[in-house]
Amino acid sequence: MKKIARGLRYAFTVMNHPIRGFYDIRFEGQGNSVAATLCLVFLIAMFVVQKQYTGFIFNTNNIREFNVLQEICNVLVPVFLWCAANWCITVLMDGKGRFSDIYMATCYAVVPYAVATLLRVILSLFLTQQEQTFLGIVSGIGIAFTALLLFTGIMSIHQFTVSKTLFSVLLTVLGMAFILFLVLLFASMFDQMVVYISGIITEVRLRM
Amino acid sequence: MKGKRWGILLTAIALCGACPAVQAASGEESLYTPVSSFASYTYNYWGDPVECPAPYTVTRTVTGVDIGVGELKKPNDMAVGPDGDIYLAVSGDAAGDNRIIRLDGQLNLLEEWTGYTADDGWTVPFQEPLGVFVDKDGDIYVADGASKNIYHMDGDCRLKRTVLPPDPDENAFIDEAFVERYRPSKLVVDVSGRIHVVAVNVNEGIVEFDPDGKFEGFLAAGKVNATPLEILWKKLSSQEQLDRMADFVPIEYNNIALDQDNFIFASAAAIDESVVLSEIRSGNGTEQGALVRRLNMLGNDILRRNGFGPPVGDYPVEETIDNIDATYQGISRVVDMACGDNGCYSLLDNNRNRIFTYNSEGYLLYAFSGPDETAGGFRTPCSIVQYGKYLYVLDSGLRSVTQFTRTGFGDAIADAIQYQDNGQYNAARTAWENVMAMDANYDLAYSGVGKTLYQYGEYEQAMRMFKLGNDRTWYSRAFKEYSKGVVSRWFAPAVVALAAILVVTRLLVAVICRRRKSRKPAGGA
Repeated sequence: MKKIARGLRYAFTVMNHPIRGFYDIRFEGQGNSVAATLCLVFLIAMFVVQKQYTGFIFNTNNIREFNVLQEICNVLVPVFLWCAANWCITVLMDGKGRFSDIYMATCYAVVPYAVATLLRVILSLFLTQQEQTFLGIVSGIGIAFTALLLFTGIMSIHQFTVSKTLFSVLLTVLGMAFILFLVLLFASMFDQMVVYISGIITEVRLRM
Repeated sequence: MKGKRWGILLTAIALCGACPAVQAASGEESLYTPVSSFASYTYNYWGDPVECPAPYTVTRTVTGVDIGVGELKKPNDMAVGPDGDIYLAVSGDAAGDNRIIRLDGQLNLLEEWTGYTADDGWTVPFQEPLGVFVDKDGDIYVADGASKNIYHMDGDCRLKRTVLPPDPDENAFIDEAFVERYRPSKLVVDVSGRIHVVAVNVNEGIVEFDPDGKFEGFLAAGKVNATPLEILWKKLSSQEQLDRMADFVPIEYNNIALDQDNFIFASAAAIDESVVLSEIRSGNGTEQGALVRRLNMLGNDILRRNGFGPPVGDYPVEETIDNIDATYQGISRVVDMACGDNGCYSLLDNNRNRIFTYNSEGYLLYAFSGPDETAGGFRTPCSIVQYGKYLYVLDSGLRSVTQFTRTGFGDAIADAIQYQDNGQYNAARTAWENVMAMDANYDLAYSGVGKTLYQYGEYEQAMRMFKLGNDRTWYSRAFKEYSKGVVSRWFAPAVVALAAILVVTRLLVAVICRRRKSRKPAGGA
């Protein structure tokens, strides 16, 4: 329990001193994967809150189509794709980070975005349509902060140079697209296989 | 061991990825019941159809035989006179089929003309009357497609003048080929006497004639919508390829109408469906995907599109089970418009044979009628006109004219809009509440009541109403005023309270400090 609490507090250390913070995750055994997962859960919760509690003026979601599972997928799928693709790429590029390091770094990096989302929701309750820009600024800062953290995170845990990090990020994005493609291909093949087998079964049953 | 764990993880990711697909397959069920083919409805904020009471009912339908003029072979157009009389332009292969028929508002035959009376007293037959218009003095204008002339006649069909097709010798920008393909089909004449003609085979825009009948030029030539990619592709193609490619052709207008303020409504049929669909999805209509434009004298589109979605008729939401009528694919095809009071206008769709009425802001008031002929619907509607509380629709498939009369529900909406435009806020509120009593799901009624409350400064109540009516713009306005009120109400008390808290804490600190001081020597002793 104490360990988790320390892990959660570590999110703030990472935000304040990203380079040292991420370095310590990899080489000093700082951070905690349970706490990191909690950060991710926090982001999911903020996504849900955003859908449900954004002020009426800015909330254009149809409540009838709201789906928590989809919100969860919206967070989990990109995060795990990112981690998996990044791990695949950096292993080949002599990165020092292990999968758990990548995962933790990613999870800690999304915290600013989650906080910005929360701030955005609270602000949206008090702003009028003309002041919409402020909401954009808030989430813009959140995204920029998260992107920066993600970048330094990859750099620190793999001990890359800036240019190598940029290159690896590019490859990671390509890798994500590739994995997605494979998954879809697999799904459609599997679907065809199921249709084929069920077709055979129907055929056989009709002839028996 | 480790590898196995990652395998499980990857499977989980795959499953997550498949999750939305599973949802899509199960169908996003709407809680609204599917709207039947002959129901009245409106679209809510999210583009879902919401049923509403009938705004119009069919009160009379007549065919040519019913009114005693024989079958109407090719009914082309309909116009309404200043006194509410209906004029039909009918063509056909036989000589006697080409005629202008005048009916009264209850669709009883008044007169029938097979030609105009020339100065010398002879009746010259019409060749192919494709369009008819009646101006405020009761003068009849007929667009004759075969002779390419426009005949201006008085109320008894005595010729006043003939407007000839544009002369290529006098105008540099048209040629013989233009005159060859030019076939005037629909026309309106504005108060100044300018004649605006929509012609078949002409995509240069609306053909304009000045009050003297002289060709002036084209209005609102359709812009060619080419994406940068298409332009690049054309640049890279060889001449042979270009020859086989579809040309970028500006849109061709297919009908025209004049509204109360003398602006021209023009409809275009061949709009890129994907553009319209993307605008429906985004909810923001622009001129790009406009089935209907409202043109000023410069040819600029000034139609307001502030409704829940663009004013393009039905929103065919594919892939959902509650698609209101899956047998009719695609977007609406607007073939005619009718302009009513207070900037309201109705569009006639001959894809699903519905009529869509919008207010001046572009909110869909109601959609009604449909393809069900047995229930008073249409087969191939081609023309619509409005006179007061009557709507008339000409059907070229059924060869009939249908009279619609506005119901109490439609009247209540019309009244409410009228009062709102006149600034009679209390009356408007009563009228909107009347609408609300008949249809509790009518969003505009809530925002209508909200606007009255806003005018009287009851911002909190107004906010509630705008929320119910899903009107975010007005909600924001009311919210601004409301928060202003809250701040000015509580600013002084808040400052006083803050000051009081500061003073009290100061005093407390001072008291505690003094006590400690006085206690210290005592404790030390």
